[in-house]
Amino acid sequence: MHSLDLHGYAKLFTSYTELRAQENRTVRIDFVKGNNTRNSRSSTSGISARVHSDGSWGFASSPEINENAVKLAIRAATDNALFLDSRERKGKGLLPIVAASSANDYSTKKPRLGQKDLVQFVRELDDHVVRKYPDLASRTLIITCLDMEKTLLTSDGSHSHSMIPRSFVYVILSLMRHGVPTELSEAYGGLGQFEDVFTSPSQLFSDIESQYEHLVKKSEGIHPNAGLATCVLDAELAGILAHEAIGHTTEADLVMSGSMAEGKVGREVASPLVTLIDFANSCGGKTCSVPVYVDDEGTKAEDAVIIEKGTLKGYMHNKESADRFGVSPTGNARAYQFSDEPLIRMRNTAIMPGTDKLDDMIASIDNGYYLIKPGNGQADSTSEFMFAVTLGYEIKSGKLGRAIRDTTISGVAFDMLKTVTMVSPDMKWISSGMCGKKQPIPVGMGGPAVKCKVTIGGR
Amino acid sequence: MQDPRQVAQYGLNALLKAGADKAQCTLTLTDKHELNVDLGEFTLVRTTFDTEVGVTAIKDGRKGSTSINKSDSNSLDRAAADVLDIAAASSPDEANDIAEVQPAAVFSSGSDAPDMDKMHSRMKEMLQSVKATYPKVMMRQAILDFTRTRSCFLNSNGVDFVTSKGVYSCSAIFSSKDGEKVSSFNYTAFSLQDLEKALLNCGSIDALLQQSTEQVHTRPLEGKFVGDIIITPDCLGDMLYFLSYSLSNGPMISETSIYRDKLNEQIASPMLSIHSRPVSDEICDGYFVTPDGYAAQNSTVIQNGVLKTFLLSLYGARKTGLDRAVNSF
Repeated sequence: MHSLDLHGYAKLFTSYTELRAQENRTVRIDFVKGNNTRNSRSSTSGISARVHSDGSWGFASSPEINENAVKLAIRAATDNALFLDSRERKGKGLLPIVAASSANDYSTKKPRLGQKDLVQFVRELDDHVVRKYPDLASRTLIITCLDMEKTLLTSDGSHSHSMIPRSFVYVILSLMRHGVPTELSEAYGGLGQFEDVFTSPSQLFSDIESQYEHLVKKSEGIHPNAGLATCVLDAELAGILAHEAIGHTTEADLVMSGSMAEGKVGREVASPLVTLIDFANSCGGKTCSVPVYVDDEGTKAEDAVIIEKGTLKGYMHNKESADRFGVSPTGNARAYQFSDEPLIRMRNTAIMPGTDKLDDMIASIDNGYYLIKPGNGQADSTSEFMFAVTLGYEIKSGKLGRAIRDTTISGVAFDMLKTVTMVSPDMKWISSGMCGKKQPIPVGMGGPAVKCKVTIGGR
Repeated sequence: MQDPRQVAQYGLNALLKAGADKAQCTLTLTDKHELNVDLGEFTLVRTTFDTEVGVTAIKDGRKGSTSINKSDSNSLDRAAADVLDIAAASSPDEANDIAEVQPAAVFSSGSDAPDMDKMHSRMKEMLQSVKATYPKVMMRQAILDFTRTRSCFLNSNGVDFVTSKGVYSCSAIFSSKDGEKVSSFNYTAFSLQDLEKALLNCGSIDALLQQSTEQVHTRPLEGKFVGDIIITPDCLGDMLYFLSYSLSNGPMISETSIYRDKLNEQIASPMLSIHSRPVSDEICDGYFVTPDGYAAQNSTVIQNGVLKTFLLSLYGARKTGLDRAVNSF
């Protein structure tokens, strides 16, 4: 990113102001059935200012990063705040003052790979897949990389610099059985630039072997029986449940708009086996997949404990919502692009592990399902959720049976969490997705396997 | 303000100078003026300016693409050199190509600048109407914006399209609350050429707000349900996603689309016809130029249940040996 020391512009702040320079860099390489259908890079950078005036916000951004652009952005954001204040006259006063600083750069220290090296990586992986699995009807392999680099200065003294990268290889395999395509996709990767996440294509061979074996079973799979069923939700499904169905209802802006979590702090909302935390940057001594140290309002990011042993403990906040609730901001204000304003967003949301072994959980079910991989999903203010399930198996008499075809699960999350009776000690994080809420944003979701009752779609 | 045509021409020349056999350059300048409402209150006025330069080069059948949001000559020269490096890294593919020459054209729709006072008064009017008519509704978020885009598409075959578009867009997310009971979120969005009508009279927002208040007290369906359902226009778009995706490049090239050999065959009820109309008068937020450089045209995808076209780009068409869709997007 074009480096610019923002400190010199503090003298231009006339009210509460956040000044942010940001660059997002992406790489995307697609191979569809051996065809290199996409090979691209992009870079988007610029400067933004957000100004608060007595309860009214103004924001402005420019794609240039230079002195003139900074001055124009601050002036335009100030004018926007004054425009709104002149019409609304909210008289809400000042925001809480916080001051924090951090510098966190996850750039690789290794020599950078060129586009040619990355294309070669996918080509080698594709060659391996087509050679090893000749009965595949198709395969799609994709490299996606995103670097988000931000520099922030606020009028209450916060300053930070961060470079948070993520790199993924998507492998989508298709089999044709009886004229019907069956597909199974998997994302490999996580925090870090490509050189730090992947060493060679062979690193993924055993994972792809497992993916292929599941696909073969799925292609001969059955439709589940529709209705309420006892299930073991594996870690990825527990993670997406933590994020979509519970997490969103406890973002303070959604709480204020009447989500199911409103007014329930201190009340029992889940089984005592359930603890749910939105981690700022590390969990169990390990760096999370989307580490946030100082958020885009300049607040030091702290872990937000949402549910502790079944009791709702609190919400996720930015400065404004924290002020309204009379608590400290948690550092959840995040923006995706330089031209985006910070919103209350999750970071790394997870259900905490328990003590029950996965094998024991499966053995305890006479007739149910073991659900492994989620597809897309959604949830709303009522905590009602619906997620696609792209991989799972029936459980019969305590043992895994046939694979099931694509299906959905649905329910009311706060009700479902009360049915949790077993939680495994193994935790897994996923971070390839983007959460959407006006803007997309990278998030991490984690969890162990949980045994619960949930409604499953089928025939 | 920059002249989009001048910048795009510089970018195209830079690509050819860097060694491209075929090249295209698109410059898009966007300015957005946005009024935000959260929890029923005005919270933010947002103004953003952005530039997007998309460049594509083909050399020896190898294709590369990049996009940047800077338009100075140094950045364009650097992007041209980068995209030739990216192309050199790609596999050669005979299907890589750019659009053939078409008559140069200038397209325009909408206003050049927003009326911020009118935006504020229309939004305020909507909030007051909602409060008075639907007191149980919680207006979680509402956004009214005006976006102006000016773009220029040039390629080395002589394609030369200039577009200017100004459009207002309104979106709202809301739910209803009665005591401890809340309805599900609902959402709607619509685009407008101007602000002549009250926002509550546009799109389907009024009907959805009414429905929201009636959805506070719901009961689950007992057991399995098999029978007829009604899909409203507001959720039909999601249903159509599967169809449009299945007809597009990816599933067609990978031969996994269930419709891959169904052209001119009955794939749906004879009651169903689906049109794609990006340049119709009734669509104020359509598009004039496809991403691969063709003037967009209206078309029929399904006529009385019969599949009339796939949704293939130039690349997808050359790869599969089928026809390019006239408005692939």
